[in-house]
Amino acid sequence: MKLLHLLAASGLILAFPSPDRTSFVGGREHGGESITVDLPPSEHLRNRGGRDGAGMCVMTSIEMAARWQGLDAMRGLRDWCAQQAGGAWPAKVDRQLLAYCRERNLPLPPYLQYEGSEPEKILALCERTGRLACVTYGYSPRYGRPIAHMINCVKFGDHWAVGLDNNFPGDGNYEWMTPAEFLRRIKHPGGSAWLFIWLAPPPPPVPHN
Amino acid sequence: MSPLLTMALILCADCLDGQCKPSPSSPKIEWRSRPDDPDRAYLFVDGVQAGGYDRARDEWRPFVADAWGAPTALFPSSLAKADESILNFGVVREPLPSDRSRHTLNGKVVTEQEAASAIAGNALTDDSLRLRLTIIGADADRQRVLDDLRSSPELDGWSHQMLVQAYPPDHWAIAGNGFVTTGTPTIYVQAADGKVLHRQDAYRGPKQLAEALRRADPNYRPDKDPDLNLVFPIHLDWRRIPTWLWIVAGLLLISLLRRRNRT
Repeated sequence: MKLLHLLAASGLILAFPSPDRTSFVGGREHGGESITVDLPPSEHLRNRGGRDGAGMCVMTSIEMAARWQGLDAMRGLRDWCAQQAGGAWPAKVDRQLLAYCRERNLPLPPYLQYEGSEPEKILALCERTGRLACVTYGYSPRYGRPIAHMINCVKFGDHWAVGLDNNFPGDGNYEWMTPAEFLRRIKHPGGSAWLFIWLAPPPPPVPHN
Repeated sequence: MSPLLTMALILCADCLDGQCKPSPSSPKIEWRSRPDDPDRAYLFVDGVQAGGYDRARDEWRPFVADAWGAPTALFPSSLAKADESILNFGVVREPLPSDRSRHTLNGKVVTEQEAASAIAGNALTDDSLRLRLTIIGADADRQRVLDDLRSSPELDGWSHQMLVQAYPPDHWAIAGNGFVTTGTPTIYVQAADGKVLHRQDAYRGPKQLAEALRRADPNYRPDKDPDLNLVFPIHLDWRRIPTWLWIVAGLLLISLLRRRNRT
């Protein structure tokens, strides 16, 4: 007990910056850089609860990624899943996607899930190829304490990483931070990230001659 | 004596009555942190690093003789409280240990390499430089082209070499972005940077589309087309060999024959 008091007295608590300035909320552009995945706000989804009130952040992120990558047959996936209990983990996602596609007589679109401590390679590939990754998110100053959440990664560049949080959808609500900080948050608190990525291609670039 | 106890005794020296009073003899205690790593703090005693603390994991590690010691939880009860106070928005999982990873493709466990490249055409490999084929039109018009891309022999292989998308004319990805949307359907072939390499406003069948794709493909070389009717893999058009080459070849042949006669 004395040790606890001593650590507090020695300034341990004060050693952590407050308020948290490790990220900021902004628009689609900052410092001459733009987000890579520019899903229109009309296509953003706000998180909701499942049948038991538990959150649906996983399927909310997954449906937004589907919308970005032209998988329009997956529109309504989140609300379909919300008829069941909320909360999700990788195996449950597999089960629910399969059930949704079977019920609608759709082919199951290819997708990748990754769990581990080195998600940066996959995120860099998503950045290069324009795909919208769904990532776990364990901390944000918006909440002031640890969270169990999934959001979309709309940019993972050399200087900036940007998250689109389905609890704060809409233009101007993007959360900008360094890639190192982003990686820290998506692995927080257990040191292991969970990623979901549709393999379908992103929309075509704007045409020009 | 453990480094942790050492640190405690150092800190206790001037705190015996429950209040920490600085005295001339007390060591200089300093916690330092880095802006890019705000959840960790490092303890320095008289300018010498004595350890580090990870707030997220509640891990104290002593730093002695340039080496990190074993981690110790300083606030186990508060960590349990913190777990209870995690705000959950819908993720329920036991994270894998930090030295393990798992990739799955449509629910099946695969290796990292397989995840990156096993499923031709659908792999999450770097396909950012591929041609983009975009079909814009009514459901039936789009479906006709997609069906041919899947099953027509003329278009065999093309769908794996391009990034294919199909949209109704009013889709957000198309509308307002400069695409023509009035075709039956409109078919675009674009380079990765968006440059339009080919556009047609009606579907004229798989053969014509395949021809257009061949012309649009910057890597297409007609001279490398295989002709499977030929016995020899190298196709020579004798009529295109210049006369001077025939003469040189003839002289070489005569010279070789003369040498053979002499020997």
